[in-house]
Amino acid sequence: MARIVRAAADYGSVYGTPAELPSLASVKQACGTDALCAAREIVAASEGRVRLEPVAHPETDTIRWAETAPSVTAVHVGLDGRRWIVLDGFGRKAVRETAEAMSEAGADGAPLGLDLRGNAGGDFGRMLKLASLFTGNVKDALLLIDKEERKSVSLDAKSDFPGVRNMLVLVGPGTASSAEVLAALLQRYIGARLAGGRTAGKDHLTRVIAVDHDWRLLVPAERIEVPGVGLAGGLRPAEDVPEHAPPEPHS
Amino acid sequence: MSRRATLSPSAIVSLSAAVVAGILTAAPAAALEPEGQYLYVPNRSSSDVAVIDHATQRLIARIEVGKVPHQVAVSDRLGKLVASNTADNTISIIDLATLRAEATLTLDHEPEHMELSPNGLVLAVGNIGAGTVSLISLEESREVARVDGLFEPHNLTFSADGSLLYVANLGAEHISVVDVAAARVVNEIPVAEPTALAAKGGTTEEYQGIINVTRTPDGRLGFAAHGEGNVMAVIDLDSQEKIKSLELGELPWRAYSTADGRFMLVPNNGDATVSVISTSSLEVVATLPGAEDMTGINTGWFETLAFVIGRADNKLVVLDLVAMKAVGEIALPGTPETGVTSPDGKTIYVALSDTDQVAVIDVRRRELVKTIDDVGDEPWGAAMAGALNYCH
Repeated sequence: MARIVRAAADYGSVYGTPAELPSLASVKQACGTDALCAAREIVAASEGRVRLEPVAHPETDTIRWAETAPSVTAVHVGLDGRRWIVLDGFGRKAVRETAEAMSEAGADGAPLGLDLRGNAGGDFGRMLKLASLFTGNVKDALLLIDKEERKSVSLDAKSDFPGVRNMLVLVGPGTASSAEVLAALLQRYIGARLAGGRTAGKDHLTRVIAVDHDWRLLVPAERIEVPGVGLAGGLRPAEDVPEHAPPEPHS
Repeated sequence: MSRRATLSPSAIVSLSAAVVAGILTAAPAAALEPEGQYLYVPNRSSSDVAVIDHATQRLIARIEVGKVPHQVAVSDRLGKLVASNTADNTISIIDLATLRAEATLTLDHEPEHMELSPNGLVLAVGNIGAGTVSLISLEESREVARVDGLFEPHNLTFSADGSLLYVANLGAEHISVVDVAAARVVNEIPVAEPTALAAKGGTTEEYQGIINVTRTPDGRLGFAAHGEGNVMAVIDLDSQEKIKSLELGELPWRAYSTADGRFMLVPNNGDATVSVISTSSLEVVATLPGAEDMTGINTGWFETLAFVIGRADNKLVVLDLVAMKAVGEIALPGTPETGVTSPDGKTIYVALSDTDQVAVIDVRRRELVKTIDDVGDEPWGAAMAGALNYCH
């Protein structure tokens, strides 16, 4: 109970959430030791910005296998010779799949393209690792900002392909959250050009707080800032989608 | 805390009395020698447990248990064997003197992993589908308490004196500490930061939190990997505080201790490596090659060798823990699940699920020397009294 209330207060007092989340004392008074009741109190006080969602319980025979939908869903070769990697998520194998796709796509030195139009975001830490595949090491690449501090985050590359050049990144309304930040990082640090439509404009982290066996809270937390790139309100690409790009994803 | 009603101990006594069936199952094929050493293999599809004589490496009995036995536990002190029957929410308690089931207890949803207290009298069973842990008196063959407030409880670890139980929550970032006598959660030890998600909507992807708390043999430290966080927390079990966090490879599974307690070995399934952690310096001292889909690590031969089970490629990767390098591979004839090292450190037995065999590995020679055939359908693991037993 205390863990949930404190975590919601720590993370949820930052961005997009009213500052007045319920105190531990008031929740205890209302709920006793019922954690799910406490979570509902927090959700109610947040005016819906904190969400409660059911847990997708794992198939424990397969969890070690890291079952996951593919994140890299296609690798296309455009008629202009550009190699396109279609990245639709940040699943467990996203970094490995992307590195393999980069090896395959960039083996002959052809320019790379990354299609993020169908990518609604996902695990933030995994996105940072994936970004470093393209950028190499970047110190203080972005900021996580909460009410009390601005925390710098660096990209630590474990990559054979640092410093990719002449890259084109496709974005659109279906590009959200981690995918928007990835596009911003590529634009800022390797000069990637963005093409397509305006992105969703979700520029903050969500912290996942376990409530009980069956439920968890999603709490809006730190705001993300990539220096020199405006994430708030969505990225606005300067170019249209080129003729030889992969087909637009169905959403 | 879960919204499920918590049963009082008295209610559980009544419930247990009602469900202790005393079902006698398969007739024993042979009596066990009092001084003998035996290997116990749960067979998921045939719903029985194979008993194999370690001295002769021959199958001597198959004991019927409930549906889909996942793990077995052996109390040498009481002469009892327990199988967790995940599909029918029961455990079977076997009297090893007669090789007959003396009780079948209905627990909560999906009883899976089990841990015996150091004195061999209390069995903790994680009901992973319900978020509860059952505490079983093996002397009385009954469930004495059911603890709730857990998050997909995976493996369980008793403190050295048996008074506390550390529960690895697969569905969370913290370890729950259960006071065994009071049968309730008394503390939560954070292992990793809450997951940071930047996504439109939530995510339905499976989540791998904490698989196990691996204790040093002296009971002082616990090592708990957090799968999604790629970190290993070192816990001071006296103060119940995290004293260090170590970065590992991708998607670490759990720590396996060498029998001498010098090293913790962690398979990282995301990048097919093995992290080796010194329990004295509390540093990662080596990152060695592993395999795809690693299900466990067994050590032996004076704790100089480690055998990494690679399920995807039907092989063991052999690691030299003195030179700190991979020194070979052992091909297996079937899909390896988990294994056990005999207490003398000379033999490793590995269950092969698709060929219904147990592979016998000579640790010193680093060779597959034999298979024990037709042990049952889909053997899933192996356990011996006095060994470092583990499960998936």
